[in-house]
Amino acid sequence: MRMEAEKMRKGRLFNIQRFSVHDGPGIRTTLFFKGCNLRCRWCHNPESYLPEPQIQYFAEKCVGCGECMAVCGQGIRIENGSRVGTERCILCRSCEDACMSGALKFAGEEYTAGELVEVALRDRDYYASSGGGVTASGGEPLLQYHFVRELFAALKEAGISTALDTAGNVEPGRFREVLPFTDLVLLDLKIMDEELHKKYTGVSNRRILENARMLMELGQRMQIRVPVIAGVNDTMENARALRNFIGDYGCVEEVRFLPYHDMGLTKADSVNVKMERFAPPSQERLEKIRELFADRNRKVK
Amino acid sequence: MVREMSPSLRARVEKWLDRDYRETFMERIQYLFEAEKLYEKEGYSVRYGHTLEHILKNITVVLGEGPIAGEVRMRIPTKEEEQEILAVYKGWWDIPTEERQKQILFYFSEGWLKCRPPYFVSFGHLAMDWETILNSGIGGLRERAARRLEALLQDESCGAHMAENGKSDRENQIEFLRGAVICYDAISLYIRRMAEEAKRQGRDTQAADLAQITEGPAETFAQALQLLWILTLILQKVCGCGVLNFSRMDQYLLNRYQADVKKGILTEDEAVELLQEFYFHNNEIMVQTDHMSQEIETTRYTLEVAYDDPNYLILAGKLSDGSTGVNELSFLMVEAARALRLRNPFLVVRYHEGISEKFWSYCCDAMRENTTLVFYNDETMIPALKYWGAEEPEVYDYGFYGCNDPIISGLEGGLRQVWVNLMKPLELALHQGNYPLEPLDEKIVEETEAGAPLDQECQFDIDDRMTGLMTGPYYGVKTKAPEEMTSMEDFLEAYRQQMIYLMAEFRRGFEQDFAVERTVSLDRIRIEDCFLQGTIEQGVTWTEGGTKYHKIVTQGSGLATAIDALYAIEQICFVKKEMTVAQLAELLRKDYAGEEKLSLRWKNKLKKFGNDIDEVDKYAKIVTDIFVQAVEENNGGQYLYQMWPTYSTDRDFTTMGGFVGATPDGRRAGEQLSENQSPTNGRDLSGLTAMLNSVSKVPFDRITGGPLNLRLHPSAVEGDDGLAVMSALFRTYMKKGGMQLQVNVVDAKTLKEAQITPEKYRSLCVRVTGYSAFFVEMGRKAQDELIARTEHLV
Repeated sequence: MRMEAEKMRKGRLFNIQRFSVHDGPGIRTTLFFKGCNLRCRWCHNPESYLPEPQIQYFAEKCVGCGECMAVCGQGIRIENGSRVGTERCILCRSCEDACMSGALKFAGEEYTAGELVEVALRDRDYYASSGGGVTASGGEPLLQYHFVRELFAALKEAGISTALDTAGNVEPGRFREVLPFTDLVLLDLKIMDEELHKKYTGVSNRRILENARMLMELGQRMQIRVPVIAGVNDTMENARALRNFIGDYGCVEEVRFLPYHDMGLTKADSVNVKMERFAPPSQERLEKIRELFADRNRKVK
Repeated sequence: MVREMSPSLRARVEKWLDRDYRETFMERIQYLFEAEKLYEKEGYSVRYGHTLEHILKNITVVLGEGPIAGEVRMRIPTKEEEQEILAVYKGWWDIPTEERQKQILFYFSEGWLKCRPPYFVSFGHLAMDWETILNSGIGGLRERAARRLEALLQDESCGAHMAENGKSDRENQIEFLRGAVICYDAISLYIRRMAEEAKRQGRDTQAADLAQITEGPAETFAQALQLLWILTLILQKVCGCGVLNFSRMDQYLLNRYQADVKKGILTEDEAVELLQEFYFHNNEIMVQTDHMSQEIETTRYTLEVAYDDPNYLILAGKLSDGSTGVNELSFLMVEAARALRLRNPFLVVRYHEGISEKFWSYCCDAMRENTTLVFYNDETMIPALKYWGAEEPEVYDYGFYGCNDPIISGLEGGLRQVWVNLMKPLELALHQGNYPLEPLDEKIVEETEAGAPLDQECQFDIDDRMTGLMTGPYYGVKTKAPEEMTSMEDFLEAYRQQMIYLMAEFRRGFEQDFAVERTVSLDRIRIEDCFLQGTIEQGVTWTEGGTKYHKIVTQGSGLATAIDALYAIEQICFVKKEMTVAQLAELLRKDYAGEEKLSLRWKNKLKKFGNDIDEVDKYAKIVTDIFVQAVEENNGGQYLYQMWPTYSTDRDFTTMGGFVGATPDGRRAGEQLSENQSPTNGRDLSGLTAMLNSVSKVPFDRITGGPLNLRLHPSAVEGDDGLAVMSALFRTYMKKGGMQLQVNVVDAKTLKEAQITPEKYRSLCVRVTGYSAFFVEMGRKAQDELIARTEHLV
């Protein structure tokens, strides 16, 4: 019986993106897992916060036809550019079905590993020629680590390369479950200072850094990713701390600095999350930070 | 590494970009008008030859600044001159269509025609036998024609058969060959004048090169480019023989290049410079406009025969022994284009399995910079061309001319085409052969058997036949009533019958028109007859059979719309059973009146082609199989011209959509069809690989050309990683059986900015369908279409 239950295990995703070229090497399919245990104030995927499915509402796409309200049995209304009464939503999706402008979108579709492998296999020729594969991202994929393990095992068996894009704020045991089937880890190290990390992401970075060290000690192939936000973590001090932390570990193949962009703001509105606007770092600062990492034999972007 | 333009060339390019669109080659018009009267009494071909001679004898010789000589004197005409010229033009063409057809034969549209008199037409759209031209020289070609003519004159017994135009074969051939000899002499005369001018100016090397190619073969790389250029100038700027394909230049110039380098008379730098000069010349003679945007002033204005359609140049590809055609010249030819980044020439790089990774990546890099370079796939093209009758070894020298029409170089004449609106038969199948936008009350549409006698009038309007575009109200055969359709197979069978019927109808019209053509055309030379294989040897024009191959480019249009519509019918009527075919037909006849929500629902909620969904994409094969069958059933040994199917709409997908009522994919009456091979606009939402997977399910080994437009956001392909991704992406698409790819790497934001401040984006060159255009020169509608195309992000 237990085996049966495992076979039917499903992962909950809020998006599947084919032809991803920025989430690991080559051409990839990125699977965005729903649910996150960080609350980064600049988050660009706020629809990933909650583990439960939800309906996103994009006011800028809404043509105000009222079809969704006509079919909603729960009396949820669109008023002044937002959905009112969402606490009553039973996720029947009839509003999404009625919406012709694409303003209402369900986030939180569930898939079996087999179904996702099937999606991935459709692009296997592209992975093969470009050195790509599948990336589990999110949200925090390791919150669904049982499923990720099952999925990655199946992908590896199908000859598809795997990457795990994680913020790392989980028990180390979860990594150990997934690592045997993981070719590359994309690890976010957002802020090195613990207090600042708490302030901007809502959690301490202690466990994240411990996990990072564990991965480096294990010699796990890794790419460190840093979202760079002006006035938050674009200091040389943070960069130096990161540099010291990574040190000489050869398994850290690449360090990638990703300047802040504001595309998360509309998505935040779509799930009624209040999100403040930040600014990207100056080009000069970004260059200076990247320069700091140029002395090692690793890629810096 | 890319060698930049010389300062002199850069200055000329800058100046050219700013030139006035009214600049006109006035001398052509002046001497043409004179010649029209001078040789009025001659036979057609002799008159043609003497007209060319009169122009080439009198126009000012302009060598130009660069190392490749040959320009013409341009100026802005006065208002009075303009009026006079337009009056003469009008006099030539203000005649009934039936009369025009006899004068200049079919498949000419008015825009193309107006600047040339009925007796001096050439429409171009072909590839000359360049290799023979360079190896024999103009004098050698002249000798070939003169010998043939002499033999005919000596032997009065031959060719007694009376031809359709009331003359004997012998008489026709003599007239034709006389014209040809005069043409060759006129061209030599012009080159001789250039050589003399070069000598007078003390440009001794140039003078010597020109003297050599006046009659003799091109002995060096520089002489070859010089001769190719002079011919292009005469063909296009004087004769109006546009849209050439230079064929496989990296193959036929290779020996000269290598020999010159070995002898020490040519360096790589010099070769690149010569190529850049040659390329620029090709741009320089073009009219500054977008011919597909008929509404804009620059298109309406032109008094010129040289239009803005680019010349094609073919690189790489397989050789007939199976080895690769990629060589050092292939690289240099791409490099030269990268430095210029102009519209012309339109580089076609032929992919084949095992093509050099270095060259492939180099080409992708050029595409990323928006160089006018596209990919075609030998692995689908060669089987497709063989399927439709092209033979070895010449099939390996296949190429294209604008807009993406296939050609076996040197062995075919110019353009004959028909756009097959794939939605027409679908609509007819829904309505038992009736046309909902202009329905017939009575069931006048009686059962018509495909292949009915040829004397029956073709139902296509003659104007439609002349342009090849189906823009009238077309009625089909009476197929199964919608009430009786109980399965998808029933509907597909009706679709098949309607498609075969329409194609038969087109064939009927073509054969009728062709018979008319033959009553006047048998001795009528056009300049391209002088430079093809077979025409001179046989003394027969290409139009009437002088060359080995004769084809009608048969452009299937609205592919994705047809796929989406068939899938919709399957879902609505046979899977979900939301309504019967009869109810659906009725709803569409009324253009969703009162049920507009259904239109929106089907448009937005039914699955669409372009998302890698097999149950939808299976119709790519079904539509293609039916299209191919319909073509095949209307080809055959009894016809001189054979149809070759392509998937290509040019920009006419909007025009064609205007003549199709509402369709089951949610499309309202009159809305545009899908463009070329692309999914319906904005409906490919699952990522680029998904889109390419869908398109690669088309069985392209039966399809002989047509573009797939991709617009990539620059961020998707930036940096070394981006180049590697692009290179892998395109190579994989080819491996999976894709046929063609052309790319614009530009975001919608930039294009919108260019609409607001065009002066800042003067040189933004984009691929439109079978040609490139400067974005700011395009009509607003064409610009908006380009902006609306799906932008592939990451």
